[in-house]
Amino acid sequence: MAIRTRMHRRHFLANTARAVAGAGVLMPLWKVIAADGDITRAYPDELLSIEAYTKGRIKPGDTIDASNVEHVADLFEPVALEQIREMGRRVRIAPTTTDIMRLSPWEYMEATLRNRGRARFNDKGNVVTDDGSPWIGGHPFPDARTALELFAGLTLSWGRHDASLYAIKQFSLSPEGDVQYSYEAGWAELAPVGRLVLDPKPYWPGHEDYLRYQSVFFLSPESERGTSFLNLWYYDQNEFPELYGYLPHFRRIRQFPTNQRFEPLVPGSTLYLSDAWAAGDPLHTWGNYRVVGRGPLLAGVSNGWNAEHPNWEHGTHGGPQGNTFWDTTVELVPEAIICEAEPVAFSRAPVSKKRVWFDTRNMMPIAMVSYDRDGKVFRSFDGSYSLYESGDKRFMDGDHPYWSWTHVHAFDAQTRRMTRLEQVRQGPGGLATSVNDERIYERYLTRNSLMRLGRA
Amino acid sequence: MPSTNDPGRSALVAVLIAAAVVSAGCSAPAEAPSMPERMPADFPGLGDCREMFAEADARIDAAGVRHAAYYRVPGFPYLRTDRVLASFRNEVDGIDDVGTWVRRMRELDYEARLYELRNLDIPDQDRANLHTDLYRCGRGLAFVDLENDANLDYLREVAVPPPEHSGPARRYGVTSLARPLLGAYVRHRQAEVRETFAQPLAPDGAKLRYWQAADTRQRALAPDDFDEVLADPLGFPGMIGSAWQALAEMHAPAIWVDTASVAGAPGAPTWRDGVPVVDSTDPTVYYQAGFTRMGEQRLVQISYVLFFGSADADGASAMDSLVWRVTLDRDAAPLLYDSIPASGWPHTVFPLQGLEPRAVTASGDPVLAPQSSVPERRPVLRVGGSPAALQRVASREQANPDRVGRYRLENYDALYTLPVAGGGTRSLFSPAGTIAGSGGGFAPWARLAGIPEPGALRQLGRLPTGFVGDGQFDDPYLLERLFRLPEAVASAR
Repeated sequence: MAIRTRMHRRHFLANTARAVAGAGVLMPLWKVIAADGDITRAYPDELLSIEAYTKGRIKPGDTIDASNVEHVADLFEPVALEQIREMGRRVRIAPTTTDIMRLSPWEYMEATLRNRGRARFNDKGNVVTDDGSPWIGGHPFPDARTALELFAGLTLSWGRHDASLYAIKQFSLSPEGDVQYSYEAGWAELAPVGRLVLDPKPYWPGHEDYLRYQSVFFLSPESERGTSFLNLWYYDQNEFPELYGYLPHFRRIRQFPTNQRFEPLVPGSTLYLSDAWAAGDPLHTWGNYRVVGRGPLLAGVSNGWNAEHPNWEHGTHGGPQGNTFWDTTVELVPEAIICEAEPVAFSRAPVSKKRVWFDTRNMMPIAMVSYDRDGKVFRSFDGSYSLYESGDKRFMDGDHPYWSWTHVHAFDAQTRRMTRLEQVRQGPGGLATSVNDERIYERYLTRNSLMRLGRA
Repeated sequence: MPSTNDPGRSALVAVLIAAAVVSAGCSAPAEAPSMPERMPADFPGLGDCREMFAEADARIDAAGVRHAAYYRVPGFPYLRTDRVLASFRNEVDGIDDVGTWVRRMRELDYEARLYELRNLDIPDQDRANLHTDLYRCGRGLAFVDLENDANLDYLREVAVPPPEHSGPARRYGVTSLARPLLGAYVRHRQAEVRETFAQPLAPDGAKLRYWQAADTRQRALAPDDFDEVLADPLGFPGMIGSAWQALAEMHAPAIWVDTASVAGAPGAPTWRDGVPVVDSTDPTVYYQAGFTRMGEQRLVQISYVLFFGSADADGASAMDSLVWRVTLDRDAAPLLYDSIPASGWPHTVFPLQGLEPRAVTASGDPVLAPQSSVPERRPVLRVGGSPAALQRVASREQANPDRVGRYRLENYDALYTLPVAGGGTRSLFSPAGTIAGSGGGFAPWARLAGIPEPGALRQLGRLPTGFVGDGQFDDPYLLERLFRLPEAVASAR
């Protein structure tokens, strides 16, 4: 039986038709950004300064906790707010970033500005250039007016680098705060299209039908060492990726059902493939994309890199044992667009919809909450990004400081189980975070590499 | 409950004796699966999974909150199935097919346990944790158990819901011997139904109320061609939740009720003092989307379930219920309407697009198509009588209502966790798939047909249609059994 994956064209048109006004309050945001890369003229002071917003009650350097969160309760998504009110979560406040180049990889932002206006959807709903070719890099819709455009840009490039290798530490905690599972893993991504740094660019000849190669592999504990998964994403966003896995117990690679999205890859985790970057599934395996609101939000988009720790590891706090949450810095995001989408389901999916908050400055997701089939809050996913630059310390990506995610909370609001991940400098066996290194493909993104990792 | 002065009882006893010999031949049980006793090291934390399922199941059964919509697969406590899914058991081959088939069964178990655990009335967080643990366990166990090909073969053999005709008359072969008798009874009753359908639609003095669905979703979300939507490896079309609801709203029937015999609007069942009753002040029709098969095609079906308060509240049954189902072709156009009282009989069909009914199904029941033509869009269901029954399928022009009431279209799943006084929830349906306290009607004949709890109102997935044979309302091959397939479909097989 073959998978039939043509999208419903009328749905696509219906989705794209629901446009919203562009970002920016005083002036169109992307007009301001294009002028000098600074967002200041697009927003009034009270959206650029937490101090102005709260009339002096909260200022940069303060810590938000249960004692003062009511001053900014409307600036959190519902799960984070509950975590602060009831679970001892705290966040530290940083000033709002106004320089757009500090909110994404340098080359990605340059390409976004350079290629602005050249993207469109083809008749299958895939993003292409004005001449119908696969996308050439950067965000295709920097002044997105629909939720579909926002998600399309995010799905095209998760990490915004041509190739990334993240060394990761992952912890899964019980509601009582016991660390039940701790993993050390690697996550690799490589873009065969829309390339901006790695040659050949913008496309890797012979690989244009693919959007992304992505793998995740586990290096510890011993029981999971060698467990690895490889996702081959088609450029056509109506197709599920091919998913291969290597489980040491079976000593062979086996293909996994392609649409296994709402299940964790390893025991104990509350993180699903579908959660990755809030857009872990092909674009058109979700639908009814719609904007449901907009407004300021407190989110971790800067100062998340812990340069003080030799391995970039983060401190924890809160929860029953003081270890449920990462120490997190947030800033006032002047404008977030709140979008919702529903999963295409073949029976009754455990998830009825997800709500994602996008930062209008860089169109990145800054929070996600999913809802169960009864419409109740189910799970949340909040991350922190950062330029890897702190004082005189830097981790470089070519000529510029590295920009990436730093840590993530994946929280089951119904069970109160937490999985938290952080990007670290190094993992076991010589694994080291790296960016735009063409060797990532051969080492981590082929079926042979899965075997090799499994037997290492 | 069966009545002691049932006139069918003596006939039943007589045939029981004669049938004792027939019952001797039973098929040999399939070889039990060989499950690994210890979970491999790759699956940490799954070592106590089988015990966890056993404990949860014991607790669910002891509390009487078993969800009856799906069949629990023997030997695989983490899998449940239905007739449509079971029909693929010998067709699935390869990783995507088998993986999808097994995962769908796990999802049905996940769904069923959601209701069961909720009705156990345990704290929300404990319930969520147990539910999550069971789902995690099911995934691990399925992975390990079904790595063994022999276990997969066994699963193919046992993942088949039995017919609803599980009463003693079936088990002991009585029904087979009584086929001529049952056939005559069915034909007699079908003639009565045809007579009802031939009555005037709106006789002078009739008090009729008209209800139609309130639209809430965007019609544009509903597909107009199922070949254009994403399909899973088994070929089932997938859509977002809002699209399913939009589709249900598009095809929702209007209800035209004879208020002389039926109490008020189609309403919402609720628990009152431990008794299920219908709240007619909240006009509601329930819908559930499902699938059926026709040749190589997978077709979408939408079932609409109506509940009416009994006109005589002192009677044995406090409610009546009726199912109306729309089967859509691949172009999302109605191909068949059919209907059945939730008590399970009579099953009436209203074919469209030139579908030609057979005279008799392969299993021996005469096909009842009481109306030669029906509107292809937005049918109006003329409902009356006691118990409330479908009496005609009309058009809006025929009904010509001077006043239109609106009913709420609600997901049928809501009936599985109805609030009860004092907190907590309870399913409208018993572990046997029936509504407590309902029953009566054609009891002796139903027992002779092997239908347990004769006349009881049943939930979707548990509706027998056959008296002579063992037809089921959710038979995935129902269209082929009832109709001659269109040439294009038949030649594509």
